[in-house]
Amino acid sequence: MKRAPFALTFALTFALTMVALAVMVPLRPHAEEPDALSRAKAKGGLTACVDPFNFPFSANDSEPPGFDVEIARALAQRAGLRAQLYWADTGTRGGLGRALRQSILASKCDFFMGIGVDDEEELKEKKLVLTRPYLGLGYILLVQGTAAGATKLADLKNTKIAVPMSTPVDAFLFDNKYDRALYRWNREIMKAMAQGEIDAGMVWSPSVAVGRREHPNGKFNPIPGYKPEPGLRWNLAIAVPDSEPAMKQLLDDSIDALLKSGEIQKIVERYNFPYYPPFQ
Amino acid sequence: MSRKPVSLALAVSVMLGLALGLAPAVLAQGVDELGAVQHQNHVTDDMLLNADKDPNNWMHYGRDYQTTRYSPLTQVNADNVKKLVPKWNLSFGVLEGQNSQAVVVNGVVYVTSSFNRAWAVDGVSGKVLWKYERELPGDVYPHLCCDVNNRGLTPYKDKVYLATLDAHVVALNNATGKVVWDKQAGDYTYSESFTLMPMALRGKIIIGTAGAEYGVRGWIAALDAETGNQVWKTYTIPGPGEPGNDTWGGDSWKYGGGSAWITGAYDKENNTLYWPVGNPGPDFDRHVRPGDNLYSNTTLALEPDTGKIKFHFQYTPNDPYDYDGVNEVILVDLDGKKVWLHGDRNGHLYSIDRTNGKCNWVVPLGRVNWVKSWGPNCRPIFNWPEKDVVYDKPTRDIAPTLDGGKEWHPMAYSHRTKMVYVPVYDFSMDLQAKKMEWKRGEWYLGAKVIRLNPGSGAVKAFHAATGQLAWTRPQSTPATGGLLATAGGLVFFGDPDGMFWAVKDDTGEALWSYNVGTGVHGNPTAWTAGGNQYVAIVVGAGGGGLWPLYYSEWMKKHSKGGGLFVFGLGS
Repeated sequence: MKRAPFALTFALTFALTMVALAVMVPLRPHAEEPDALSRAKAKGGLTACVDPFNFPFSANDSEPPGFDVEIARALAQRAGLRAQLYWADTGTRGGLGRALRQSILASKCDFFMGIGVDDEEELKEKKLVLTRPYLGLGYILLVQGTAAGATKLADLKNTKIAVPMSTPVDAFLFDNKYDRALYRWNREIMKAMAQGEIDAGMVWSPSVAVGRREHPNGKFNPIPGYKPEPGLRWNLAIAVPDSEPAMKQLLDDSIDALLKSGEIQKIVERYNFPYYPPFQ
Repeated sequence: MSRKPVSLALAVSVMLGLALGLAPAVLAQGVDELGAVQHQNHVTDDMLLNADKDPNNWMHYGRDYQTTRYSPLTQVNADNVKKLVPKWNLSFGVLEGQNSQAVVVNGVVYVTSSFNRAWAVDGVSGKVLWKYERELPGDVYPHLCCDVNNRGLTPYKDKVYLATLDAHVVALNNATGKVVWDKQAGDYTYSESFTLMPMALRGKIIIGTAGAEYGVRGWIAALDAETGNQVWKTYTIPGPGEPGNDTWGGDSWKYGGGSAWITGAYDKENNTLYWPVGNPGPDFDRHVRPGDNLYSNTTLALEPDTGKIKFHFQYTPNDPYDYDGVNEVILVDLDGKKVWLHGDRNGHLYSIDRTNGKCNWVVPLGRVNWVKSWGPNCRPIFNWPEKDVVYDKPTRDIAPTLDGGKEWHPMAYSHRTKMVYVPVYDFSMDLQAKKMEWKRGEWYLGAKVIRLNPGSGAVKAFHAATGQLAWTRPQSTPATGGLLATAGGLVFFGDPDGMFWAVKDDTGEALWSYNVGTGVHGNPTAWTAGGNQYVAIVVGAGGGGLWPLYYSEWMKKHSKGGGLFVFGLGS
């Protein structure tokens, strides 16, 4: 039998080897990346993104540290893990969007606390989803003095009401023909009330925590049992990457448990502003 | 007795005495004292008024009161700039946007960095003479919209003056860096904050506040240079009864914005201070502030001794785009006319008669589509409703973006070519005013920049008399550095890629460049020391505009940094 030329033999052998490799390689399973929850369990800690300058939500120089910090710790504890914090400043020119890009989207944390639930388009663009809400917030009435007898907004139709300018409550009162006194910020309204300049204000509910700190002797009070008007109330939730369903499930289950046990209410009421469970 | 022994004895006695006298002192002082060299400078009014004729020093934000940024130096020129080499570098030791303008007096460089650090440096060797660091309050940061930056020290008499992020003005002894006085001039808890280089003018230190994003009612003030006490204060948003207050619907003037955070210019012939004023607030919602919103987006002409407003020119009335009119003005005499040149955020270059505020001409810096045409005195006729910012839907492709056709980075004017050189941004944005925007734990009537559309930038030269485009140097990035023009036929600038360029002033042809390792957001300076010319650039990326928000992509291949690079001719 005549021998095949060496070159042909080599070429055939090479080709067969390549084919064999091509078949073999896909058969070896890919080593899968563990998901965020698995990684957190391996290192023993969950990392929450929180804003460093947002008392009573969270603050890096405050004791107590903010209800979002305490709720994050409670959530981690339910999972048998430590809570670690990553500070993400949402108050820069780029706002929440920039903070999300530089923190959770850069894998600096597992979840981002304290996101208002409304327009989820931006979160969707960033491939983030929200957990079930854990708290209800809204614009509430503070009254004192000549307005102390009011039990609902309609009672203040002929009373000047202090509002933070360029907020939804500013637009709401303007559209509904209430008499507004413009202030820059919620805390300015409570300062004005404490100084007796004005007897009615409509402020963002968590800001009452700041007002109480700054004016412990202030006579302004929320109307007992007042619930924020429709259109002026929202829920607070946690943002999680949409690629992390296990993390979202853990947080959803934990939030559910903490709401039912009253733990979230206890935490929030320590900050001295009206507690609302998530609005339906 | 012979003389020699007496002389010898005397000499030995003297030397011994000196040695004995000195030795304990040497041991007590240590290395720092021995090495200390104090350069006490004294900057007079006369020096400042004639800075334009002084080639050796750089004593103003814009090199002279006219803000030309034109250096008469020719030692470094178009023929030999290829021989420019790095001479020394100062590391700031901090990151974030480095916006500073180094100033130089008698060979001593004074420069600032982010977080309000300041240095005096020997201009030849780069040896630090003194350093000042400020302990900023921890709660100042939430009140700063746009980075932790500073635009420089102003030298005057035996001091240099620093305006700080926590709304103080600090006077430092320019020989030692010791604090002479430190005065609170604003309230940072109400978001008043200072990022500008103050102006020194005939015994006064003039400043303006930032903070329009947080509802500040803007102002310009003059402090006594010796004591820091306030001499005058002029609000940029008129109060009730003041002319212009009726251009704000309802109470909206109270929080109208109108920050004044860029250093103005001064005309000594007509004794007029020209100070630029920024955007109205809320930035994007013009509907809650109907009217022209004076004096937002305006250059004010002021009486420098009293702050009284003489006249004004407004670039963008009732602005919905955040076209912050705070950019600098350059004072130039051209063809018998006394003008100011101004490159505005709204995407246009203006020539305005600086004796009466009348507009000579206005030309686009790049692509512009928010204005349809022009009314009397260059009043824009807005392209509404097509490009209006509304609640119910996004408005696509508004050109330019809120960063402008030109951001705050300063232009330069050349007496040699009679051209003005402009750093240009050429982008567009999709914008929607939102009924609600979640911001720091609360809902606001805000705006959403849905997208910064892809764009580019350029350094452009325009004939200053006519506004005709002379040349353009396109680049893929926005032009984020200030410019310097020289009598040596050169224009210097840095770019976000970290390149420091020298180009020919008449053609824009690149002649030299150097990689400084981080994006440039600061300005060049030129001076002489020891008979040699130096050119320096402040380096370090950052900033508070729209484009830096997209840094996450940028940072994959770039890094922040902070420093001063100094170049001179190689031997």
